[in-house]
Amino acid sequence: MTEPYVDLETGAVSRAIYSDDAIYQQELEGIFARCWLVVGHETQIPRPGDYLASFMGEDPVIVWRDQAGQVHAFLNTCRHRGNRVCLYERGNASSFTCSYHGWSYDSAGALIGVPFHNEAYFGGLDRTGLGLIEAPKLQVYGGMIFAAWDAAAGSLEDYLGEVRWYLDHVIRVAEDLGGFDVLAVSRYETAGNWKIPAENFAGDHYHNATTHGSSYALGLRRAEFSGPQLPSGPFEVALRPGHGLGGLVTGEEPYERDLANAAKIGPEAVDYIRERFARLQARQPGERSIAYSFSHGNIFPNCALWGGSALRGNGIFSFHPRGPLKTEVRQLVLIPRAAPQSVREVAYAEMGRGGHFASGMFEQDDANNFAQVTEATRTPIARRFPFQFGMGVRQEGEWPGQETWDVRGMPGLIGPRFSEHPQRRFYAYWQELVAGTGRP
Amino acid sequence: MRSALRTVATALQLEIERLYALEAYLLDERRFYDWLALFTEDATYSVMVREAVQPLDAAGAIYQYPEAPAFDEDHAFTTLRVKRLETRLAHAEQPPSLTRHLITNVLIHEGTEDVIRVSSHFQVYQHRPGYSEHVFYGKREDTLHRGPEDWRIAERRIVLDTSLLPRTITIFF
Repeated sequence: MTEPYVDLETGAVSRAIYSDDAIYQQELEGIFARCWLVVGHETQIPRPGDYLASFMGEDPVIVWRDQAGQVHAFLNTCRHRGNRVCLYERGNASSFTCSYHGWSYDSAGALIGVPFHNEAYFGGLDRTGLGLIEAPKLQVYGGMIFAAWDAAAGSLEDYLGEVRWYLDHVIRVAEDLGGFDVLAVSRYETAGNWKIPAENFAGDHYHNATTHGSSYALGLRRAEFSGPQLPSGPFEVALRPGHGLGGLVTGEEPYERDLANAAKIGPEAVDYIRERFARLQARQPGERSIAYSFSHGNIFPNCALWGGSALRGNGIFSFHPRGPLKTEVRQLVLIPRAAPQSVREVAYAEMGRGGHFASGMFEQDDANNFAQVTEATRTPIARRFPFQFGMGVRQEGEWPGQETWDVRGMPGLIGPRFSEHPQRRFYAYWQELVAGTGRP
Repeated sequence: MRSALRTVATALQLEIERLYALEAYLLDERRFYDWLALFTEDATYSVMVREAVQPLDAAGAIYQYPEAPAFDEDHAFTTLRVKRLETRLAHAEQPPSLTRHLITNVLIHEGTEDVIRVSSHFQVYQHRPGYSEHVFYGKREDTLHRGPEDWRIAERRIVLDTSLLPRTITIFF
């Protein structure tokens, strides 16, 4: 790829990157076959033998905890003639047997059974090297299972870069609250390119007022976009190498708001919010500001984080590409084990009703826009006119009033709620990987 | 099950089938407030999907698909979904979907004079002009309560015949 699809000086991004087949193939090779990808969460496969059918790009993988407790990601295909070996979406198994000729594999991926081995191969098939094809890199971080196909990929810690601080200091507070339970899951297919939801979660506070206007009109959400930009946020943050997050709120102000809402639920909810805040402070000691929560984020390339108020769950949403024009969305929502039942009910209602499930009022209108945007990238005249990601490009790092922001000690390029710098970071990294000039 | 079917009065069967025909008519004519009035005030509305979970038993039983919750809502929220359509800001329904609900195979399973459990099958066609077409198949499991004038839906449980929703859910079943 020689053509510059992304112009960081102006924020212009070519429409072709959302629908061109050749660029899509470059993405599958340059991004999904190389980067660390989230393939699941430990809470989904707690026991030996537990497995989950997942995806790395378009490649189907089995995320399988072996009998010794080690997690693997295997390509879901038989080494003999390619048939699928895992036929269910999840379950528990000590082995899989291919339904074509009967080769079987154990949970560590080894080829353990070849029917008629003596007659068919005269006892001479070398089974070593014919185990399930395994992603050479796999690491569990904060419960999230990351895997990569590139054996030469750098460490996961380096890959996470600046988003790691926010995982460690905000999301992982759940580890001090008993770990995570699964609150809910949702799965749907949608028209639209995978990058559009990914970069939206990376830092698009700007769309809320319009896209989700119905939810605000019905009073289902507090309109964080009205009034002046406060020292407590919300902020949008660009994170190296290609991540982003937003709706970041800091200090005691969001804590007081959660306390007031918890009081409407009950004293146990108030205790829970207090406990979480105490644990959060312990994770962020010293003179720094307190990062209280963020409502959206994206771990490059396609793993979104959803949250915000501590009365909500922690969403991990994957946008699996299905060709350039289609995406399979998998949503997993977790909640700290210490959350009382009353808080879980409120958090569940938020997901299923107002929130981001396939039926959620937010999700419906997002998916609708993302499909329409993708459609508008396919045709020759439209492709002459790039998309605009130039918001705040001249103010970047020198935003008016930024000296008043309560963000001491927090990494990343922290900007106001309305700015497209996180998306510029997303597309800058995307371009490096697709062009082959950068590496994960 | 068969004995229960024999004892269902033809008049009751007809009454329930007419109720469902009316319900489908109201939904497809977009008379959503009239549709809401077919439910009790404390009605629940839930949607399930199927999930292909590997069975623990190796053999010896016909596989029964586990159901997984997609969402469940109370009547107040179902009403809010209708109100949302009136804001004209519900972008996923602009222009509104054209729908056609086909309800068949109505089976009255059990019940008393005032409470019955009914299952039915459906095919729901959804068309967004200039945008997309989808068809949903599934079953509904309802609990109906006899009110002073007519039967009301107290519990609606929708089970869609898919493990992967083909799009976001913006219509009623």
